[in-house]
Amino acid sequence: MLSYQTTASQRIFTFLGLFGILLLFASGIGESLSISSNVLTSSALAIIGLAIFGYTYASYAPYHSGIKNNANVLKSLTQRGVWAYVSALVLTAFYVVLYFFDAYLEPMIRGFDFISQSLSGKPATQWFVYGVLYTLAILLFGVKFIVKYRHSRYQVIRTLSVMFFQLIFAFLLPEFMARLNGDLPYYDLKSMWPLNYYLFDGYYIESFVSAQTLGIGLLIFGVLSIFVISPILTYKFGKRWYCSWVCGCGGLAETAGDAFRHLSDNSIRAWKLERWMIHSILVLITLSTVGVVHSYLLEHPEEYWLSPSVFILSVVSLLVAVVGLIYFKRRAWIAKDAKTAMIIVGALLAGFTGMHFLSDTYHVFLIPSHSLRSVYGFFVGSIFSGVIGTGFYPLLGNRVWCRFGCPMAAILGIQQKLFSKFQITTNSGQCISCGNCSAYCEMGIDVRAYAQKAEPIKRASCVGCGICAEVCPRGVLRLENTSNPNQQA
Amino acid sequence: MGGGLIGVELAEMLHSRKIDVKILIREPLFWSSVLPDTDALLVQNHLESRGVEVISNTEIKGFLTHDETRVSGVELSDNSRLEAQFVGVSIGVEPNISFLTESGLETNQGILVNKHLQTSDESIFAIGDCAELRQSDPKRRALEAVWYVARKMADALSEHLINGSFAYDQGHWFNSAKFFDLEYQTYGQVSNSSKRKNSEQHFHWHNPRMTKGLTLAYEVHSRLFLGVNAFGIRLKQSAFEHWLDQSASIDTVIKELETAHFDTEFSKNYTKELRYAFLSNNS
Repeated sequence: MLSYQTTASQRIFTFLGLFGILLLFASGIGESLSISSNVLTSSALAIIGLAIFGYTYASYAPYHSGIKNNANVLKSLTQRGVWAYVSALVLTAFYVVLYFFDAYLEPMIRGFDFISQSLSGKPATQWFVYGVLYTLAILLFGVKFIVKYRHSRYQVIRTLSVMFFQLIFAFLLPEFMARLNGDLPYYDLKSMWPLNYYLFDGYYIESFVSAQTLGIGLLIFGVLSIFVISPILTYKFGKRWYCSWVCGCGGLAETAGDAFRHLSDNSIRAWKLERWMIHSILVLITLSTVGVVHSYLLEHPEEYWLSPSVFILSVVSLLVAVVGLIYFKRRAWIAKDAKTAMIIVGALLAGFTGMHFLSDTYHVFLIPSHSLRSVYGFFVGSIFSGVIGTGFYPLLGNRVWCRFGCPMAAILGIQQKLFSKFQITTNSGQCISCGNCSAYCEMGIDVRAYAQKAEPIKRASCVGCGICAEVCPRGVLRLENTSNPNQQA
Repeated sequence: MGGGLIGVELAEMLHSRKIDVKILIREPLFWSSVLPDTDALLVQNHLESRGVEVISNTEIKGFLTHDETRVSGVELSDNSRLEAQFVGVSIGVEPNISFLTESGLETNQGILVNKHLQTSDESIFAIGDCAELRQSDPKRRALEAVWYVARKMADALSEHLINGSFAYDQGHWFNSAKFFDLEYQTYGQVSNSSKRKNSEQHFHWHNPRMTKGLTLAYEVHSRLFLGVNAFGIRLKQSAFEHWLDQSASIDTVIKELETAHFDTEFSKNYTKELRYAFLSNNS
């Protein structure tokens, strides 16, 4: 019987892709076979590209445009079957080696030297290799996504946008900037604090400052990004302007992770866990960043106009202003645990003030500030965002990191929920309760529960990918920037 | 067999499993018992573009079987035969209320209910596909077996049971469906070609690829807007409810059509083209 799950050509291209990946890891042994590793690396990348294009062609070319998720719940890879576990294991192992045992990747990394040399003039590092593979994944699977959703201009334009920002802003620009100014640290212009939690680390600030005007300009841009540019854009368009149009983590989730979006947990339990986790991580990163900057300023009392006390005072006043704004303008909107969270923020403020008196050069809250920072870097920066966030796509869905871990998403989410014109509008009572929207929501939002009641959807976690509106068979949902930001959904 | 909404869903599911499907219908065009011919043609075109053959003007005379246990095909009204491994029958809904004949409840085609959805025994209520209204809007059927009506009835009944008196109001007719990749929405009244009276005028527009189409119905003399059928276009229900409530004219609807836009962002705007076609048609 002719299988409707996977066709022969889909299988051939899958195996071709696996062969390409094996070849890539084996490229290091090229020298011993007296084949140039450049040739091996380039052919491996070309084979992987060919395999993904071929798979895309085989999957969508025979059919008309329109939503095609046929047999999604029957395939081993996309329904937590054996292949899902195998790929989760391989991906996770790759991340572990990349972060902690990069010596094993050394031969493969040398195979990327010729690309790195041509861009920045430096030899490749493990992070350069990761950058190349990451960018290629977004570009190649981006093409697949565009072909799959070619009937929808919103999806096509949005995907071109994430492909553009990954290729130009995350990958090429930092390489060229490093070539122009050797002192400049790697800086992805579109990545903001707290996503790039290391932005305000001492060594980072020093390398910015030593890079003179350009470096200081970038540092100012980094501060403006999170405090000015991002709130304005989120007010107008919702957090989607970042999470599903610009961000690299979101970009990979939307493109390479598209086949796994229905695996996200829709339960209320998951929602509760999500709110506690993501906001705790936001608190942790705020605390550790303030601590790191504070100790840095204490260590360099003469070099900066900003004194540690002025710094602590301005952080405290900023937080008081934000919390006060939320409390007085949106008190009625927030649930019990959000109020609890505000008490935590209050405690944090007291903490910051206390910190100033209890801290010496190396301690924040009597905890060594750099160890707080390295704990965050290890558990959140490496383990969560990489190993679990991407490695577990085939098991937990494609937005695990964005949903449970990303402190940037937490900030944008609070803005989106409380101060934004964005919402998903429901077309009166037209919902037929089929549940496609909830099933394909990568953030695990139970969209249907709102649509059934003809209520608009204004949720902090919504990244505005628009897939709920695509899979709705009755045209019930529409993403809009026109809601009244002062009216509770 | 049968050219309605259930038939097309069944066909789509089989088709998605790479099973060859033919749809047999009694009407000359797909669902022309409901849709005007312009719209029925659009849907039928779409089905055929998806590789589903629609055999029209056909009835089934009998089933052919393999040793009396499995169906092996059908014999059609023109005496020709079609082989088949599976025959799906979707020829409409009729309430199965025969078990109530002894109950004393008043029935006709369905269970008769008043505006509070009470049966002849006032402690028993009936809603949904089995409920037939004693007094219904003259433009509407007394028994409407569709999802939205059942939902509305359930809303009204819960209101009645909780807050005392609340009458079920049929409101403006609306419905929606999806034929493979073609979405369909309708608001108000658009008669099919055989039931359309001369006083009811239709304006039909579709794009050249026939992936989007709209039929607007209005009264010739008063220019009163009656209803709309939309294909491949998403329309905002609240906008049409407003125009129907206000007894708006077709000219108002055409002029303000943009406010009913519900397609995803960046979708191509068809309203200009449509308005141009309407004006050149009407001058």
